[in-house]
Amino acid sequence: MSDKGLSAHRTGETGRRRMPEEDGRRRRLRQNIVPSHVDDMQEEDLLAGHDADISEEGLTPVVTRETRRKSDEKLVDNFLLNVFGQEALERDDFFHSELVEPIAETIVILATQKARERPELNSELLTLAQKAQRELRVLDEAEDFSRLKLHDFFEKYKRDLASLLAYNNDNNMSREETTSSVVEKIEPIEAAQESPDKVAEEKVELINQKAEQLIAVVPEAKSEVTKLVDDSQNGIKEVLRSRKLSHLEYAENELDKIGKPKSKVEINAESPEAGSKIDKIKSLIKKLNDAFSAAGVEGYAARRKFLQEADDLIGTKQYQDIVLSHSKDKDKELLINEAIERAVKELEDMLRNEEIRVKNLEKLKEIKSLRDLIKQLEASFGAPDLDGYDARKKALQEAVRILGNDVYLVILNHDKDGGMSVNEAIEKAILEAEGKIRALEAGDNTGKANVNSAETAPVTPAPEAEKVDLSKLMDASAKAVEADPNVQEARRRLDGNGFETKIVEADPELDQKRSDFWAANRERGNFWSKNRHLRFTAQTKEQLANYDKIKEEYDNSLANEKQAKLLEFMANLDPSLSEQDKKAKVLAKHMELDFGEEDAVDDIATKQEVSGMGKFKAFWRKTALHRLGLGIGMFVAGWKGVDLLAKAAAVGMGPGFIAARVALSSTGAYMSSEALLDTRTKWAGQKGLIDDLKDIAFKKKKKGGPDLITQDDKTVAIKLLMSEKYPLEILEKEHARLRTLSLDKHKGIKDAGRFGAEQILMVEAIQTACFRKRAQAYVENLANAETPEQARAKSLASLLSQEKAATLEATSAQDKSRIKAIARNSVAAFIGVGTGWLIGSKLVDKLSVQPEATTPPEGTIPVVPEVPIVETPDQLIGRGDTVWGMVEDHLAKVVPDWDKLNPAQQTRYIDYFENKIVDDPSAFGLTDPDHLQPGTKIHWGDLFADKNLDEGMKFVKTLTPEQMQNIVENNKILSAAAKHGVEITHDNVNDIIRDIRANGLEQYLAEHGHGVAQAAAENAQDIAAGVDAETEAGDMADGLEADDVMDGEVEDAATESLEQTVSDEKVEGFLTGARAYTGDIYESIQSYAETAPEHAHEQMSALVNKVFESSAQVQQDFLQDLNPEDFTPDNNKAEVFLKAVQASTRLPDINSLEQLQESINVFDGLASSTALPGKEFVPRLLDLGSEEGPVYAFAKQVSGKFLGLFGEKQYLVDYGGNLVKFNEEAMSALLKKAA
Amino acid sequence: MTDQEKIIKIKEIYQDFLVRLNELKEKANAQTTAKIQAIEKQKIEDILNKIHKEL
Repeated sequence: MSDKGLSAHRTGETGRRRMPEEDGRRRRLRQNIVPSHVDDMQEEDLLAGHDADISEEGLTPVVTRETRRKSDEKLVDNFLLNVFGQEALERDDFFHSELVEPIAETIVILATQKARERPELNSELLTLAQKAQRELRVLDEAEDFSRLKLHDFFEKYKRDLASLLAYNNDNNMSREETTSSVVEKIEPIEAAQESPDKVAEEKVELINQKAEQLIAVVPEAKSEVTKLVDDSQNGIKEVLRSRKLSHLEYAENELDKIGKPKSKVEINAESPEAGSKIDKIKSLIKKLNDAFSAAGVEGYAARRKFLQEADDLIGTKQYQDIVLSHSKDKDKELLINEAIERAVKELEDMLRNEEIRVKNLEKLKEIKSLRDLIKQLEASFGAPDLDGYDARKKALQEAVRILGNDVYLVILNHDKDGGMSVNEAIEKAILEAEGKIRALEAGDNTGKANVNSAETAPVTPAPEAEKVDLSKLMDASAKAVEADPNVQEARRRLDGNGFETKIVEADPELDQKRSDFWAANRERGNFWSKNRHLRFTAQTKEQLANYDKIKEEYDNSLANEKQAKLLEFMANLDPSLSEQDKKAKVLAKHMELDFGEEDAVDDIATKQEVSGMGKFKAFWRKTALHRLGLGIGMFVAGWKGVDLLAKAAAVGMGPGFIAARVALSSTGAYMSSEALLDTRTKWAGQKGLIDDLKDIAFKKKKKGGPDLITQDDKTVAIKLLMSEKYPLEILEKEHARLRTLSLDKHKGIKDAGRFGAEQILMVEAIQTACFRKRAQAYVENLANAETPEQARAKSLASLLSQEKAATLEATSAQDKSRIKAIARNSVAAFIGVGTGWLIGSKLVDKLSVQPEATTPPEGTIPVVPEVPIVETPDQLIGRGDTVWGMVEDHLAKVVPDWDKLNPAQQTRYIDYFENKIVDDPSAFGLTDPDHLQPGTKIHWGDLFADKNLDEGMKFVKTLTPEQMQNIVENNKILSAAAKHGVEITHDNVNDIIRDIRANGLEQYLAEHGHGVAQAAAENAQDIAAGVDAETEAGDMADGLEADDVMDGEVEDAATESLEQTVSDEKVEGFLTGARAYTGDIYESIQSYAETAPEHAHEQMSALVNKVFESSAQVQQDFLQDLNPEDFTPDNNKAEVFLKAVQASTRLPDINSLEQLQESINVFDGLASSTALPGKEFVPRLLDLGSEEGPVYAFAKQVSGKFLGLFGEKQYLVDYGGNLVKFNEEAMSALLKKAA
Repeated sequence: MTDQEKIIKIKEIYQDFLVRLNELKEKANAQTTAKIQAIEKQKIEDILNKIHKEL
């Protein structure tokens, strides 16, 4: 641990090179308690300088920790004084931890000295010294090493030595003998345990071993490993070669590392050696050059010799090796010549370095002498007059010598009284010396010091020079200030509040000015402002001028405020901070001020009080998305209502109704368009950089929930915005735009984005980047300043221009916002009016069509109908459709207040129209009104023309309560009859009603053979009763039940036969149209599929054929009977399947069970696909999350970009008449879930 | 430089050597792994090609 490398440790700069244990050691040193034998030290001659008071303190019974510490230090210092002398102790770089080695040396020296005096004690002295060396080593290695312990140890050694000398005093030995023996024997002990050579040897061996191991495993790595081994071994060799450094060398090394001269270093000793080294190198280079050209054996020998010398000088073995290893080579001459060239080159490099080193050394020496001179001058300056005079004289003489300036001597000679003149001379000499030191230091690469500053700089070289010192700023020359155009501008702006005043005071009215400005800014954006000509055109001149004034006041006030705060901040900056740190701190402060201002404006935005249009405006902009939804709804309502409108017009609805519809649609279109433009466009809406940012920085992400943007994304965004791609102007613009939106929405700026909370982080990113760039510009500006006053001027000018720019942007953003609103509203209004016009014209088209039926025959005088007659388009007949149902549907659509008619009235109304059709089916494109053919069309013609609607309505209105009662009863009868399987046709309907009214339903059913069907429809138990009462089969069944004696076989056979008969009858009944379809029909056919498969098959095909010519309900029922598990009432499969079959032209009419099965298979294949549907409706199995599991539905893709809103594909799902939309992701999820 | 310092320095060099040797080892390991993977991948592709040809 006797480490000179640690000697720099006292100085703060080099403290980082301290070894870690050093701190601990120093700490221990300080805390150590005075040992008990502290009084012993008084007796020691070596401690002659020891103060008496120390020993007194040591003996004081009550010793405080502090006094102990002090006495410790003094004790040790005295000890050191004795060992090393005053001079050594005064060196700043003297360091206690290096005591170990000097003490070890001292021990040897003491032993040697004593051995010289007392040769007879040689062996004893040797033993004692060896013992002491060992103990010293242990002490050095010990964890609790302290300076004091070292001191104790040394004291003990001296005592031992003294006692040895006192004890044995007669022996004779030659001096030389004694000395050599002691020294020889002591020295090896020093290095006995662990020598660098030994360690190096060991490590080199290990390195070789490990490298070989790796190469064995991975031969490919050989070259790299070899290089590593070489590096390491060379490093070790280098370490071994390096010799012990002297104090000076150490200091030099340190200086080299730091790169600048250090003050109090011993310099004087070194130069002769350095000079000689340079000479050596020079002469060797010359010798090598000479040898290079020398010929023959002599030349060869010379070359070898000089190369070896070169090796010695450089400290390598390379050239020697070349000579040796290649001496057998035939190209040896060439090699050696090459080696010489390389050696010369290397030596030249070395020479250069050496020269630089010596030069630096000389410089250091000069600096040292200058510093010493300053010290001397300063010391003499403060000395009392009588003693001091000589000292001053001496110091000034020295100054003359060192500085080479006679002036000091002159002063001295001319003013023998001393006093002021001498003192002045001393001061001047000090200044000159300091100037020279700075000049010398500036000659270094650091280039920090100012050579000229010697004349003006204060006595103490002030590191504060870098600090922005306010008082200095104030006192500085006014001329420089005046010259700066920035200052002139700033001064003009500040209106007399110029640089002569101490500090620009913060404006107490800033708050008022701020709110004034933003209020004016808002007013500027107000379309209806009273400050506009005609209320809504250009702004009045006064308004414009007023605005500029308010703006300027706010700019100035804010800039002043910031200037004051920043200057105050800078004045209080820690002067020891690096330039970089200072900049960073000022930058942060600038940003902090901007954020503070932001909060203040946010406060204004959220708390502003408005009324009337203002409130509406805030609501309007806040609710863009809601408006969009509402607007689209209204638009669709208006559009879809066109047909209805036509009808309404046809039935004589008032023009107000139509106008309302048109208005609704127009307003809807206007609102949705305006909202779309507002949210979706840049040119007319709220979209801006912030939205690009989302796209640019987050391409990886898809549209999603509010947690879309994370802090990480914000960091990415800030990084992006800080790039050159986004100059400050762009950021300012976006910031101002967001601010305007924030004012419009009455929200803080962070909520001003189109998507509010979702964009908070993005707004923050823009704010941060904008403010950071502002602050950067500010700091850059400041850094460019050459004088403090320029800095101050630039600071204010920069702040002013920033504020000016910011408010200007705010103004233009507000103007743009207004213009955008005008553009947006105009476009939206155009779209809205256009829509209204479109709908209106569509209506007019409808109303103005002249139906063909009313076209007067040729030759007759055309009769212009009073009311325009509207022809209803032909309608496709679907499965299960009936005339009654279709008429009912139609009336429900066209008759307003249809729901308000009671069932009897509705029935009468429908009846009126139905009768017209039944009376002349062919006029409506029908052959049999009771059996509509699906796929054909019903030609409504003018059936629903207003004339007929009115006529029908007359019947409805003239119905008496009695008639209504009648109708209701008839309806009940018919519905009961239908329930019991009675097929009701237009021909038999009146008969049915009459018969049932006369004889009751049961009688009617009995008479018309509907008993079994009725029973079957109700429940299985009733079957027997029905049969019993009405039919032969029933008799048989009854008989079977009564007669229990019949055996099983007969019973089975009879049952079968009976069932078959019953089924046949049911099937026949259905096939012939005499009965409605019921579930037991299918079951009964199935029941004898095993006993009579052919018959069953035949019957089944007939059934299927008939079913698929019947109504949709029958078909659905049949499918559910056919496969109850597949076609459940919940999964909607039957309906979807039937519709799919109906829509498909590829599938033939279904006439057999096989064909049906085939269709089902095709359908299943289609529906079970998980592929996303195309633009046509296709059946799909979807999991819509219902409890019954997946359901069948129709789905198709709907898409289309409407002002960029529906950019992504949407899928429309028709589930049992319910329409639902899903996006692509959701749709495929539904499909996959179902699969 | 004192002997003690020299010893410390030599030990430091040795430590540094060990660290760098380990780095080399890891690098070599990574290269070997990558090579093996490449060979395996090639083999699998060969087999697949063969199967395709036969099919």
